[in-house]
Amino acid sequence: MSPDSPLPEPPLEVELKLRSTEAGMASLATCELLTRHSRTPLKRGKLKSIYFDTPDFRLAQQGLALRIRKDGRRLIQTVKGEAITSSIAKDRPEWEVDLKEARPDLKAFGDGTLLDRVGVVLPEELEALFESVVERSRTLLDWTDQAGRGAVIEVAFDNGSIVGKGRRQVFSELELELKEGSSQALYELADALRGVAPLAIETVSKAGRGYGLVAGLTPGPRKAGSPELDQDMQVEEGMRRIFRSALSHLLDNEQSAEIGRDPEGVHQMRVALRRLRSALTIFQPAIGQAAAQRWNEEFRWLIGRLGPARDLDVFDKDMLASIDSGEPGKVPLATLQALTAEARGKAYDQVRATLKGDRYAEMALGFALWVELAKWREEGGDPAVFATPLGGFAVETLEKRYRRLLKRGRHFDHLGDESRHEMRKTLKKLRYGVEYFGGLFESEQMRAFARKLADFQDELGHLNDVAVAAGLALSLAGRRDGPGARHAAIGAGIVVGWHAAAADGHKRRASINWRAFRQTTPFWREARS
Amino acid sequence: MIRVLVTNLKGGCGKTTIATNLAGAFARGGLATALADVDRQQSSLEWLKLRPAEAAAIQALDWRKSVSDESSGVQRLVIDAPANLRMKEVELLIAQADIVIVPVLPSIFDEGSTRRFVRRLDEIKPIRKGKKGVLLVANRLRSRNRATQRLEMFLGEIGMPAVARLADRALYAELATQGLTVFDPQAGRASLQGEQIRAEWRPLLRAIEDEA
Repeated sequence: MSPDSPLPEPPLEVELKLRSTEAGMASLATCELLTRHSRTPLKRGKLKSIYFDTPDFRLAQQGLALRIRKDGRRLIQTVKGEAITSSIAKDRPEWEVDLKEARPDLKAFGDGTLLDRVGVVLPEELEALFESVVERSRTLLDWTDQAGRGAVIEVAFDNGSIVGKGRRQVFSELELELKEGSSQALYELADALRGVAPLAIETVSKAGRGYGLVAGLTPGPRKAGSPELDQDMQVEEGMRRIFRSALSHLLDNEQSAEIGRDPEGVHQMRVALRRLRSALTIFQPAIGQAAAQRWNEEFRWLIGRLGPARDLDVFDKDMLASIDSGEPGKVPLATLQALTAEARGKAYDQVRATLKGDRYAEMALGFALWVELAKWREEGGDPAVFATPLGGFAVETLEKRYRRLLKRGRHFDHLGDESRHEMRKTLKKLRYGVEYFGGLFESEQMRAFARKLADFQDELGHLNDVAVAAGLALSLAGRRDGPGARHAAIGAGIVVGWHAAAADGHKRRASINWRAFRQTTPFWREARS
Repeated sequence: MIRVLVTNLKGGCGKTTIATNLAGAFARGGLATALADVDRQQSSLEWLKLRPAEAAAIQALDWRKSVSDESSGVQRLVIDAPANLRMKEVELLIAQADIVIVPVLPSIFDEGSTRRFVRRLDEIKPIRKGKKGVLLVANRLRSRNRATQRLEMFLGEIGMPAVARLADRALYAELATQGLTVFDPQAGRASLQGEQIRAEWRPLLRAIEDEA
């Protein structure tokens, strides 16, 4: 496309969406904290909104949701887009206009940006898809944050249902929307409300519920974003952006993981958790050991809870599916496949129970607030490290990890499984360092280094998968009693044998990749001279 | 900005009808639209002169002598190319566009020239490299008669199925005399027929948005 001149930004709406238990919501609605800061008692109102889209979900494809809401005698048409940054309070573009008739009209906003993004959508193409009926109790809150700045926050308790295609879904949410002031106030309020009732971050929007309900459209898995960093930034700011990005990555995949149709959902959540843990390790000199350990505990717990589902996904897709054992292997493999499907179902039940549970909710919101409110400042963080420029910190970190990797890999060809596993862990640490800080040294050398590192890591990963698969196959087969037992055992044998043959190839390639990697210039050293 | 070129070396296949109606669709959709006419006969711009003030505005661009660069603020540009151009001239116009739309009639007499044209388009670098898309539109179809079926088979043969299938309607010509398109509400005809006609254009409109 030909270059455009920059178009004006649509207005942003900053809000934090939370949920609690039924009792919790009741406590929150009547708590002293709210009463003390509210301008008025909670005002009740009923909101009915109808959501529109084309038969081919054109708007949803663009990450947009269009609704017309009846508010008294007003008809308000709103289009909401997806969040811009990765902070937990969603800053979503929102267009709003009053209509004279209850018929959707994208031109009514008078915003060319929106129309350009959507493309040609004729009014007759927009159909009513679903409706949300909400009882909203709201009030305005005045809040002064710790830095002494004032803010105005709208607090709304929503109890309602989404209805469409003869189906219905009930929900209950608490929305904190920033009307004036800085988002700091939003987080402080949320932090204070946690003391009143257990709170969780609600990742599903009303439109999201609707699309899921009537069209089975659910958010797919999302890969990691890369936070914007630069050399002169202070470590504290860089750290904050990295944590934010990784936490968003985690939350963005929550729905996909729960649904479980795409193995990427659980996988990306685990990748996000590893990013978080590696970031904690990288920044431990700044935040202190106690804080790093505390959060590491929680993230490790969650990785563990998602582990069985991940292992079975990999086993099913990469291991079982790739085997071509001919006729004799068909029945045994089919038996193993059935066992795998059953185990996978149970593993995903565990995933769902975990993500709906209290500990996860505490962890997610707790960490989000820890980051946004920079709680490390009062928890034994090292102010000297926080203030150092990110560039220098990055060079030190990368150098340390690189040296450790070289040491561990000294006799690579003769390493046993255990030592190779240790090396793999060290390698991952270096990889994360490069992923986070590579952007600061943007160069061909950095890209070459990252590529060689990734190639080597892939080969090591394959070797690991083979080892895991063997263990899994044997354990699954071990569960089967009676007539199918022999078949299951044979199936396991086929899996182990098949992939063991491949393992030799991986070992050789890994050796070659390791040698190639060792000869690649560590890109951050160039930057120093 | 998305720039759409409507072209076919063969005359009479409905280029101007498609170009003007595309422009009408974009304008009706609220997008800042311009229509550029390369033809000496200026059929598109003559049509634009007839356009009533209440209809969604379309900016006129006269490209008879040269390509103008008054495209600031334009979101959708439709270029109407005349028939009987040399391939060199077609190539120059393609350089000014992001997508190429080729109207094709269900006529056995046109098959040879369509096949040749598509082949020659494929030789142009940005098209060969997949950087610019070519969309075929089956135009002036009359029910499921033999000619239509034959066209479908032919397009299948050359590996370029039609993105949209537009029926032959007297309405297009009628509306053209008033400077209107099937997308203008001023069209005033029975709205059900209007919706059916516009529905035929939908896959083309979507494809244009998706290609760019």
